[in-house]
Amino acid sequence: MSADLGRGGSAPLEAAHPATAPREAGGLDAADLKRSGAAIELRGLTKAYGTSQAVRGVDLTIEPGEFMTFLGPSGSGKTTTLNMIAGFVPPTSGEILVDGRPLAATPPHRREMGMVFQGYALFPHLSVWDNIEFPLRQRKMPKARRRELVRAAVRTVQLEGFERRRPAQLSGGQQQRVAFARAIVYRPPVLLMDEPLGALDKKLREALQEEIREIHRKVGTTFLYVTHDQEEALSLSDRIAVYDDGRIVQVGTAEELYERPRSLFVAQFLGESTLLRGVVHPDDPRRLHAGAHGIPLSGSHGVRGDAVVVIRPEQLRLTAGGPAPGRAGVPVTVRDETYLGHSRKLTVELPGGHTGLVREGPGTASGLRVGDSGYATWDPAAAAVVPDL
Amino acid sequence: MTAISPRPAPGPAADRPAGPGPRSGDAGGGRAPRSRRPLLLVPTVLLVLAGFVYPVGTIVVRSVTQPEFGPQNFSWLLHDATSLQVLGRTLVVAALATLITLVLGYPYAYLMTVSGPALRGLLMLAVLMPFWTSLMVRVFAWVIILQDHGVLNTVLGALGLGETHLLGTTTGVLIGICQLLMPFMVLPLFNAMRSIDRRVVQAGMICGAPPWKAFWRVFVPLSLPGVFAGSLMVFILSLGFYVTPAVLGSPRQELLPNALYTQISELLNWGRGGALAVALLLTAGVLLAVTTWVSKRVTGKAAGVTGGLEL
Repeated sequence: MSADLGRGGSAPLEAAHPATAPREAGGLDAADLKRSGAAIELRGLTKAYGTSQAVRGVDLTIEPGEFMTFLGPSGSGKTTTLNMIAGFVPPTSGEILVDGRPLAATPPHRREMGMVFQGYALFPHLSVWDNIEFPLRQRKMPKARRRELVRAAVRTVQLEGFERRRPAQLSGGQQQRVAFARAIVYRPPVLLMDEPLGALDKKLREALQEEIREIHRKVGTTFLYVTHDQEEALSLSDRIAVYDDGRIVQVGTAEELYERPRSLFVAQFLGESTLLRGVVHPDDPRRLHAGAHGIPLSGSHGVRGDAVVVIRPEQLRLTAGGPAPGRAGVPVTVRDETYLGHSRKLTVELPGGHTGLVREGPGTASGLRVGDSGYATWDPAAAAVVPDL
Repeated sequence: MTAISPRPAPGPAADRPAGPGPRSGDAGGGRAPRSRRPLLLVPTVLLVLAGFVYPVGTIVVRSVTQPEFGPQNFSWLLHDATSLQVLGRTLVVAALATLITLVLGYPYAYLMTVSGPALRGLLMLAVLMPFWTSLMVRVFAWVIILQDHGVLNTVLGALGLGETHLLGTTTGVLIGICQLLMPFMVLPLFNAMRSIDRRVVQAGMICGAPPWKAFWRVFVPLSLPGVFAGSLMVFILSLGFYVTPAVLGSPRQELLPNALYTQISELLNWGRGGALAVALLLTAGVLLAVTTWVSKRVTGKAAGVTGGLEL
C-alpha cells in the first residue's frame, strides 16, 4: 500500500466538488476547492494516563479525501487517537500533522475539523437550524452566506421541514443527521466521526452508512471514522486501521484485511473463519504440520514455528471424496446446518474436535447433511497463514 | 460440572425495577390495586390541610375581618410609608442575596463538577455545613465576626482598610442570609451542571468556538434550569428570614418578617399582621409564577422550586 500519493491523489475528489458548491458567487468555488480533503500524518503518537498506556506509538498516513476507519474493540485506543487529532486530549508524545503542518500548538477551535460525536452532542437548547448554523456563526460569516450553507447542509442530510425543532423532538436517526450536517456545514477538510451510528438500530444504521458513503463521495473531505463494528468498517472505508491494545496491528483495504490478515487478532476480528493450528518447519514453508496431517500452504507467507491457517467460510468446499489435485483438504463431519436463504452455513467437526465453518452458495452445494462425513477442501492460495499466539 | 453461580437466577430478573419505560408502569403483582392507591395520599393531604391551609386561611381571613370586615388593613399597608419601606427593603435584600449567592455559587458549583471525587467531597461538605449546625450558633458566630471589635474589623483595620460598622446594618443581615442560603443555590446549580454532557462543550469548540465562548454559548444556557431553581429558592427563603435580621440587623432597618412579628406578637394587631403576611405570600406566589413562566420559555422545561434537583 503506497502511502505517498500526495496532493495529486485528491484530484478526482476536487473535480467532483462543485456539484455541492453553491451555483452563484464565483469566488466561493476556489475557497471550497481549497477546503477539499487534507492529508493527516500520525507519527509515534502516544497517550499515557498515569502508568496505563491508552495509545502506544501510532504511525499512520491518511491520504487527502480518504475514508479511513479505526476499527478495534472498546478500550483499544481508537477513540483516544481521534480525540488527540481533534485536540481534546494532548498527546504524551508524538506528532499529528495536517497537510504537513504540526498541530500541537493549535487548540480545537482552530483545527478546522468537523466532528460527529458518539451520542451526537447536539446543543439541546438550540433548534436544528441554529445547531447547524453554530459553526458558521463562530466564523463570522455574513448572514446570507450562512443561510445558504445551512440550507445546503439541511438538504444534504434530508432534514427539510425540521429546521425549527429542538434535538429532543427528533428521532435518533434524525439527530444523527443534524450532527452530521453541523459537522460538514463549513466544509472542513477533515471530518472525525466517533461511533456515529452506535446508538441506532440495524436497519437505520445500514441506510445511514449508505448516506455517509454518498456524502463522502460528494464533499471530498478526509473522513476519519471510529467503530467497533467490523461490518460497518468493511462496507464504508477506503482503508481500515485495526487497533488492538493501543497499537495499530494492520492497515489495509477491506479486502486485504479480510483475505490477508497478518495476525490471528485481525483474522478473528474481521469475519468468521476456520482455524487450523500447527507448526511450520523453518526449512519447509509449504507445509503445516497439524498432528498426523500435513496441510499444504501457498508458501508465500513468512511465518515459521507455531502457525494458524485461516480459511474464510466461502473458500471451503465440502466433498464426499478427498481433495482434488492442487487443493488442500481435511476430513470433516457435518455437525450443524443453517439455511440462510442465499446460502447455507454448515458447522463441521475437524480432526482433533475443533469446529469449522463452511458457507455453500447455490453453485457450490455439496449435498452433505448433518451427520455425513467427507472432506473440506480449499485452494491454499486463498488461505492466510498467521503466527499462533 | 456447573459451579454454583453467585448471580441470581435469570427468572426474577424480569421483575427487577426497570427505569422509566413501557414495562415499569403497573408490572408489580404484589402491590395494592390501582383503585386503592389514592389512599396513600390521605396522611399528606391531612397534614397540609391542618398545618398549612388552615393557618394560612386564618391569617388571610383575619387580614380582612379584624378589627372589622373590609380592606382597611391593606389600605393601611399601601399608605403607610414605614410599611412600604419595610416591604421594599425586604425585596431588595432578597434580590441582593439571590444575586450574591448566584455570583459566588456558580463558580463554586462549576468547580464541584470538574473536580475529582476527593475535592468534590470536601466542597460538598463545606457547602452542607450550615445545614448541620444550629441556626442560633451560626447567627451568633456572625455576631462575633461582624461586631465593631470583631474578627472582620480587626482584619480590615490591620490591612489598613479602615473599620466599618457592620453589626446592626442591612449589610450585616445580607452577609448572614447569603451564608445560610448558599446550599440552596449551590446544590441546584451543581445538579444542573452535573447533567450537562461535557462533549456538548467540546462540540462547541470543534465547531470553532474558543473555550470561553463555548462555555458562554453552550454550558451557561444549559445550566439555566439550575440558575432559575437556585435563585427562586434563595429569593423566596430570604423573604421569610426572621432570626438573622433580628440578631444581625437593627429595628430601624427592619425586614418584613420582623415587622410582622411586631404587629402580631407585640401589638396583637392580627389584621395588619395578616395584611403583611398576605403581601409576603403574594410576592412569593407572583415570583414563583413569573420565574416558572420565564424558565419555561428559556429552557423549554419548568424549573419549579425543585428545578433540576432530584428530590
